Amino acid sequence: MQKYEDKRLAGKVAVITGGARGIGKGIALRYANEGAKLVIADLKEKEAGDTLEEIKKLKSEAIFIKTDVTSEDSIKNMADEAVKAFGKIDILVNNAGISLMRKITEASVADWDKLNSVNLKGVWLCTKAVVGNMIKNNYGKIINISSISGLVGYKWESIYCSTKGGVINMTRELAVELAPFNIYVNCICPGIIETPLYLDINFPLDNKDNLEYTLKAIPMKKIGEPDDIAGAAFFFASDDSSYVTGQILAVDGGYTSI
Amino acid sequence: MKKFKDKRLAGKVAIVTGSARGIGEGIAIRFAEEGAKVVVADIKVKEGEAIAKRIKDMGEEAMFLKTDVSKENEIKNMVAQTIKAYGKVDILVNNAGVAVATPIEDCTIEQYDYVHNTDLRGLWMCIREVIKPMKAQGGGKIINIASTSGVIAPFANQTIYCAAKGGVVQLTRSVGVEVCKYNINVNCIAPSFIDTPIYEEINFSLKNAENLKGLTDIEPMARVGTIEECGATAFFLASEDSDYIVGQTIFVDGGLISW
Repeated sequence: MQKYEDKRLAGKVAVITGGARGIGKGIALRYANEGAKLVIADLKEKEAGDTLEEIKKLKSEAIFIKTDVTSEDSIKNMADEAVKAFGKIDILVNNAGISLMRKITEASVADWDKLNSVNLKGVWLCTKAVVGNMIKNNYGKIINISSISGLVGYKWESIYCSTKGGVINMTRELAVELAPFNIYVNCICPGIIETPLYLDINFPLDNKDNLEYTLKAIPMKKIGEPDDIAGAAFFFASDDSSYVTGQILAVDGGYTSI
Repeated sequence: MKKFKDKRLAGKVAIVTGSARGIGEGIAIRFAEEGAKVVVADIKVKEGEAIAKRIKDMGEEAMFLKTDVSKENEIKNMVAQTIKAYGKVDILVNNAGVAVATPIEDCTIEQYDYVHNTDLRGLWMCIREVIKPMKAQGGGKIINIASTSGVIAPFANQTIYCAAKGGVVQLTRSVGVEVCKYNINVNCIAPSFIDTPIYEEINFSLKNAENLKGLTDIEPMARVGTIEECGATAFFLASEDSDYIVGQTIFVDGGLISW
């Protein structure tokens, strides 16, 4: 990783849900590299510990707060602990998410509730818990991680697509509602990114057939990396996006352009 | 002027059309602050040379090239001169643009051609001209400047301009998909109301409080944007942070299109 001399997020405090691994970890490392203090809010203690070690090597401060984004109490505790540790919250990245590939004829209401409680209600609850501090400070950057599945249909992901589509329009609404408080709300829609999520849904990208099927849909003919999403997440967290709010940015190698 | 310790476009060569003033100026200056060599391409000689000089005074490299992007031979010259001077072209910002505001029944074909020859046909020609050198050097970044008027129509009398800018948004997608396999990222910026001299030209001065209120009232952030804010977004799309971004339009609009 390139080491930056300029710390373009110096003095900022960022909360990243699902920051222990995958895209969230990529964002955490980039923010650390830019001088931000970090709160890794995640369920996964062991992986979060590894992420904290890597952040330390970048000479940035970070803490782990065990957080279940489906629990309002857990989220409130996370927001309180973050403010207690660092005095404020400048940046919230709503990244925690789960996925599922299942035909609608086989999916259950329990599946629906599980995905929605993390991917959609969780984003709403985390924003609700953090935004009070941001309003008080008259400053905030909220970055929601949706998906290309929020923009186009991805087969066998009826529930996932619903949750991610919801995140997109919640972004627009919050951008409009929170603009008077100098709080920016933007959204990134990652395409196919090399993360452990694909193992979770039993669709490993190192499987030749899976990879071939996937690459067919990507004009750039390559899978993205967490770093690709981190670059966009840095833009939305930095002063460079000071007139950008409500933006839905696909980082997808062209997936949704065809 | 920003002073960066690490210049994140160091070694890059950028052409910015229409950069003698306004949004193009904001982009050219930010690119220079990030260490890029900047070609200021514009029809306005005096103002264009002044921007190039300002960049040199900052300690960076720049040159002015008189260019009318509605003319194919001038575009060819612009790209050839850039490569002759700096050896390559890494970044092209298609910012040059003109506008008219006329009720459709009063519009002339001359007005239509005047706007489209620069805003859409000229932009297409500029892209066409840099693709070959960018392919040969293994990649590049192309940033088209459209407008929120490319996707919404908040004001009357803008049929010609809206059609041109809508064309830019879709052209971005089309060429983005076509050339991304060569590591050329084509993306777009759609500004809303940016404080530039263009408002004086269309007799809608932002110094007039009523005019200003007419714009800020319809934007969630309740203010107009700055050329520096456009420069900042262009920098993001010119940097390696956009390497996996293709065909996108970023709205630098204070939330205008979100409600």
